[in-house]
Amino acid sequence: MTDVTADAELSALMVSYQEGQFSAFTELYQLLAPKVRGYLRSLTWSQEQADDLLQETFLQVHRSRDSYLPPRPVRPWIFAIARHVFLMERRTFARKRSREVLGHEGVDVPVPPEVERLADRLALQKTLKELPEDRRELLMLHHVWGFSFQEIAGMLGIGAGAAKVRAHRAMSELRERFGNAAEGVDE
Amino acid sequence: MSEDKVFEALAAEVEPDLGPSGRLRPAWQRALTLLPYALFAVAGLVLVLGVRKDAAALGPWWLWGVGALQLAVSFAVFRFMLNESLPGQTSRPRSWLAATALVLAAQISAARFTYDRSPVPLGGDERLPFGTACMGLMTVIGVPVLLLGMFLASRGLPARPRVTGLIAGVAGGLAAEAVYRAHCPYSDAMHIVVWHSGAVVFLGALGFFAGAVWSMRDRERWRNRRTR
Repeated sequence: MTDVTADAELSALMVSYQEGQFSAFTELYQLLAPKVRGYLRSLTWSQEQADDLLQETFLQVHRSRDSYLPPRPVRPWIFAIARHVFLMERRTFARKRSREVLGHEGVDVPVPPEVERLADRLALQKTLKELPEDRRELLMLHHVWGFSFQEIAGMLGIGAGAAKVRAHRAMSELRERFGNAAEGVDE
Repeated sequence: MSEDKVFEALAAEVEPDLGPSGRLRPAWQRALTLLPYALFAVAGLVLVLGVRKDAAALGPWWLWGVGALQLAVSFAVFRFMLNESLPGQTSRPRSWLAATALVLAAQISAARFTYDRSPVPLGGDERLPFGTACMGLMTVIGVPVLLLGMFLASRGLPARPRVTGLIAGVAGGLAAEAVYRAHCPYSDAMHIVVWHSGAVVFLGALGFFAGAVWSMRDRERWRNRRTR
């Protein structure tokens, strides 16, 4: 399925959901929950917290479903809600969380397909975790979930140019960490 | 929590609550609500306080046309604010700084050209009482626009309520200027920059503060829901 078809299908599902069809909600969840879960894992570095926030994300999607305006793409809309939920959680419980050890080893965070061949998955995840948070998020949104820089700009409230620069820097850092083997990596 | 359990918990909350939700109208259509208010405000202002004393010298274009142009700019900024309050449509800081600069430019340049056509003098001892009256009345006219903007924005999910409030405030400030110029005949630079632009900045700051309160209440609600 091409991205355009996927967007059209997701948009049609979203419209059915707005009309009150529970089956559309179920299908949207099945199509998008794995991606949103992966995104939340990359933000929290905690499987448990990501699942918890996934539930909150879809509850917020339910509450805000009238703010989806077709034919705009659904994925940036839902990912922006997931990010909002993550930031609400982080800002609300900032003091508590600062005393916790954020994230732990063994969280299955997706890695950009372009760098999968450079090292084993655990080493890649460890390196990703060490990247500055804003660059890592950009890298993941573009290279793992395939958002355009324009879509990312709208989700993060930055310019498309800044999004591109940060993603480029993150990829350069990955290159540096894994040496020459990454030289052929597309940006 | 397993994947099935996440969905089960969600379904238990979503299914009983599910019905046709309607859909927000596009930002430009929602922003149109600004126009009836502005017309009502200008009619009320002219009826209660009268039209500016240099109306005859200005002619209809400089009296009403420039105000209509300012209202159009205010509408565009208002629309931008409503669009920015939707998930995935967050604007970059440069955009909202540009919106603020546009509002101030539309206000000051209109006053500058109006002054060229009708330089109504304002005596030194009149500056303070007239200035505070202008700023006060413009704030009174602009606050409903700010509140309307924040109400409409709350239907979305603003990522930065402070910025939403700031932009709603400056849009309200320019709408107030568009209305108030039908009454205030003083267009000299000092009066406009200090008192009229002061009202715009004050409304922007008020919006920013309202957005901060909104953020705090959001966090409080979030905390209560997550800890119950």
